[in-house]
Amino acid sequence: MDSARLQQVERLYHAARERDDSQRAAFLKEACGSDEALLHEVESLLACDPKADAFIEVPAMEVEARSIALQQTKVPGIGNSGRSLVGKTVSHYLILEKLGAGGMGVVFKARDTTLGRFVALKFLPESVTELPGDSQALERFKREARAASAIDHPNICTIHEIGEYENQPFLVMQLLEGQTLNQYISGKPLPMTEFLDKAVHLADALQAAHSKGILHRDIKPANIFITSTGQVKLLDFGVAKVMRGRRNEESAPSEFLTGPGIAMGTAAYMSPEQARGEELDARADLFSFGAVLYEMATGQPAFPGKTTPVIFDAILNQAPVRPSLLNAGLHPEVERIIDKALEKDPKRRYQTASELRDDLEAAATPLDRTRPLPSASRPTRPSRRSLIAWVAAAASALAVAVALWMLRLQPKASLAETDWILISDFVNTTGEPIFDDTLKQALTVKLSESPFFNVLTDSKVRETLRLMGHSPDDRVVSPIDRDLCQRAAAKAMVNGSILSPGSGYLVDLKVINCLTGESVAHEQVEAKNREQVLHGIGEILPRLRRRLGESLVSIQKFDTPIEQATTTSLAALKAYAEGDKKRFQGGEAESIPSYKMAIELDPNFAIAYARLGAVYANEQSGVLSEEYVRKAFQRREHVSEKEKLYIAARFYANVTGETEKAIETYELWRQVYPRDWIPANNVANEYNRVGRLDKAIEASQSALRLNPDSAFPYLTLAQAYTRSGRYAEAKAICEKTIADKRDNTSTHNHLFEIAFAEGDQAAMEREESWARRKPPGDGYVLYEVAMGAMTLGQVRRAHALFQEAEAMVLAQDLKEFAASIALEEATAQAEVGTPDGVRAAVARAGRLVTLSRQLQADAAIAEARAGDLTRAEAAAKALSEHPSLELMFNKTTMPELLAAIALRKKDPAAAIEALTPAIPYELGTPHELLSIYLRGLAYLQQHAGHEAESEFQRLLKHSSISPNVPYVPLARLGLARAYAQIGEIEKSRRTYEDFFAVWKNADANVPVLSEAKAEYAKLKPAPVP
Amino acid sequence: MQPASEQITQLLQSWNKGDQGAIEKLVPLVYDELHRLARRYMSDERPDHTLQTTALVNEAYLRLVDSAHASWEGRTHFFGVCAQVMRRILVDWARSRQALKRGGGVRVLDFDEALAATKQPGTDLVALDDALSALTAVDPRKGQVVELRFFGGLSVKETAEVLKISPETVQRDWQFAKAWLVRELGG
Repeated sequence: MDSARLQQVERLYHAARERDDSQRAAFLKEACGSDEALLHEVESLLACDPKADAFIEVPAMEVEARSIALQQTKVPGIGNSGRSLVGKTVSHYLILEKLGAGGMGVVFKARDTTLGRFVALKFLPESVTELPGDSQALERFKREARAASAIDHPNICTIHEIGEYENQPFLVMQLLEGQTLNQYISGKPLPMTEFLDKAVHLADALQAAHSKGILHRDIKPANIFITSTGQVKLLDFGVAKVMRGRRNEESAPSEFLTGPGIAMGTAAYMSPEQARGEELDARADLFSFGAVLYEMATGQPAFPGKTTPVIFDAILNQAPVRPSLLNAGLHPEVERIIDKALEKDPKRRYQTASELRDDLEAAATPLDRTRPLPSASRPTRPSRRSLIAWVAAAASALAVAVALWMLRLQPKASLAETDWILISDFVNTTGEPIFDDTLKQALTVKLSESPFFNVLTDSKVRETLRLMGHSPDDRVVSPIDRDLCQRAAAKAMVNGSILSPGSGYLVDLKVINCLTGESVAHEQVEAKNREQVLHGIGEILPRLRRRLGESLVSIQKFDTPIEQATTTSLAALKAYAEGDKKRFQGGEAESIPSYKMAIELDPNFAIAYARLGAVYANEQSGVLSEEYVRKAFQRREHVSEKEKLYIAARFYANVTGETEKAIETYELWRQVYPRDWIPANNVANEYNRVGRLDKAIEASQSALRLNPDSAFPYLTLAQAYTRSGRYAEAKAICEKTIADKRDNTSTHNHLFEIAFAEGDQAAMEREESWARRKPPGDGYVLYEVAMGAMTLGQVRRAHALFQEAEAMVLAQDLKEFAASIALEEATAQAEVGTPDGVRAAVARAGRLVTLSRQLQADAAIAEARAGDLTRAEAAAKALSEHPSLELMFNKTTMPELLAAIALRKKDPAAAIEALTPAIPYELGTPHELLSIYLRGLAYLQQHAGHEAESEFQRLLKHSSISPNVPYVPLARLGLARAYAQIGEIEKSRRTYEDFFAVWKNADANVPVLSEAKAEYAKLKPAPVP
Repeated sequence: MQPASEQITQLLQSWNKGDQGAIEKLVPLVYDELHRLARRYMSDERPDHTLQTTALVNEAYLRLVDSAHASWEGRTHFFGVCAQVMRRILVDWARSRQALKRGGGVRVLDFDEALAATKQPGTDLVALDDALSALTAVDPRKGQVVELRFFGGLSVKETAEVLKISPETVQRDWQFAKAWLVRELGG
């Protein structure tokens, strides 16, 4: 159509519109004459008028904003890039596809690019985290989600992580295949056996959460997932609380009735107290669960209704239709259970989830004499049925949160994820010793990479051998392997053998069920030559893993080639295996040559570098340890997933000192390999380092539960208990490790500290003599003894002990350690000794080694405290010119150095300011209690007696962090001075006397003691009442 | 980061002079406003309170537009360019969302049934954009009227000022264009 024609059409269109409807037809007919096309054109436009009236009257901006609001309802804006996240990388997750959206957020399928696994990413509605006037909402959400992520239960969808993307929080969850319970029910009651099985598992999940104090608050069929293997999973734990945080739970019900954000689905499962907006407890979840049970049993909602007020009226005032009327086949006991769960008065309801579960289990017994088993082995609907259900669900576009995983081709698994396996020693009939230990080693490294396998650790194997009356060094082969496997409560064992039938080699791997002795998987591979053997094993392993029940996804994800996970050189692997063996026999130092040999044979053997890094760290050779960990870190692409985490964590913990990253990595490791005790143990050390003692206790307890056979969790836990001042528990653990002959330096360290704190002279002497008895003497424990002497003001005795301790560690060629002991003396001398004492100790340290940054700072702090400002300031300047990544150095050591300088310059305000970054870390290492002490001194200098008092009080309260440092008695002296400043003369007098009592055996000429005595003498006598 | 108003002006000028890249820098601003609006619909506003939400939209347009037009050579020209930019961005946005919906093998499923009930048929911006281009080809002024009114968010009076025609003419163009577009879009 050209413009002229259009103008003609338009003229007629407007002219027709100006006429009445009745006259239009005649008008147009006349105007168009014989031009039928023109008539048709104008008529068709006029016909569109009714629609055109409202058309595009709303500006495009609003149309689109509304469509965002409605179609992606409550979808987070995700900043500026809101088009779609698909194809983008959020944190380290590559978003693959959107799985669903709804009132609770949007869910994407994503791939974890660091771990390779698939996960579900859920973004919550922005309204959750951007509440007007509530800046804490995001933090609250994260806290809540973190709490929920702590629930570890097979029937609760695991939350792996809580992340943040452009200020939008998201949850990283397990990716599941299946459908939600409401799709699964789809109006029909579940068969009784299935009902009971699912109900028992759900009740068990609730019990697990409730026992941790976590309520769900939004239990409904849409939040319950049935996986394609028939497992039930409760989703979105704890999220509801945050969702509803904006509508204060104590607020009036009218807000609920009119509030826009309540999905119908949610209202129908609310408890009466929730409908009324009252405070909730676990019983509210049980009511909602009762409503879900009702629906599972009858196919109908317990409280139907189209609007929230109608539903609430039913919940508050009406009894639901008797379930047996809707399902004639209902077990009478089930009806009673549902009735009780749906009692409107919480007091008459089930009080705990375990009560409810017990009743459900009891109801199940007559139906199924074998009692409910874990869901994996329960009969489940055939997978085709669930696939059809899936497709139907997709077609009706009505739900499904979490995605298709991968079809399980094999319904029956030989192993479950929680089963332990034993890897026996290889039977080697080739006559070539190179295969001894190496093949087992490679197999262990490779199988341990997959979280599906829990390989019995060497220490567990050795311990079990001992209990069986064998030598821990005995080879684990038939027939003792099966016995060992059973005793260690492992499910299966891998029996490997290698033989050479003429030319080449034949490797045979057989997996045996230890209980029945039957073979559950068997694979063989031929190798033309020696070099091909490892590769061959690598080739058959995926098949073996599949046979044992590992999912294809897991096999694909943890697929580091066996040679890459270890080494291509059998000889290097052999050397490595020898190193491990020596370590397990108790010889850290003895293992070093073997690992070094392994590296010489294969300079890319990453885990051998990592082991050396660990050994040197345990041997107190920080510099060497760093070097090897750094080398391992550079080669970390060549290792298995698990080793990668290990190396990264060690790198952050020990090389860069990025403690926060180390903690993050260890926590990630704990999530991916939840049955691995090492990250739990090691993260406890990091928590100790930053002074988060509660977390340290939690992590080491968890390590201990996971591996009670290793000495390390005991030592870590003992440390956390000791530092927290939980002495009875700490002593019990230390004594147990001694009884088990697994005590080491740190055991005696803790025991000395406890004895010191408790003033137990005999125990202190016991530890001191232990340190001297152990050849060539335990310098670390003796250093603690020396520090204890300093703390009592016995400077001369302390000085001799420090030198003795240094000699002991030098006898083992640990120069760095000796230097750090000398500097510890320097810092103590600065407080209780003399400037000469400080100078001598610093000089001694400088002669031993080139001081590391930490040691330079230690020396400078001592110098500043002793009044040598020139040197201290020079060091501070040099150190600040080369910034470090090390968390505790930046947050505590540097601030302490700057504060010490400021104090000496009589600038207390600057000292207090400098110490601000240390506040969150003041219970951490390396300078326990120093930052609090310096802050107290600064307040004294300001004559802010009250503030000084509270600092010194706090230090004394936390003295268990390190009772044998001079800051503890000096805090008492500081307290006495603070009391004097605020005119509390009597308190001051008594506190001075306390200090003198602690220092009753101090050297007479200690300057600080003389000063204190003079001050005490000048105190005005207490006013006579 | 919110670009300063001079930057917005500059970006609009660059785009007007043919720098296609400039629009990419404007996109985040428009999206911000879209999401700010969407959030307010979801939190404060009841869906039936059209008057209020329209006020919100005006506010949003103003925020984008007002900051820049002071330093612009001519008001008319400025609003015209704004509307064009808005059209480009909003249509692209709609197009990308459609691609997601129709994309091969992508399962997009609603997570919560409650949503299905509230879903409203929206205007298909992509199809509208095509139809509008066809209209502009035969009657450029009607194309401009629609662009200014619908994409630029201007009232009849404002559109008349920008195009230097009478409000009555704008109203007639608007009425006819809407009927024409509705028909083009299949009634």
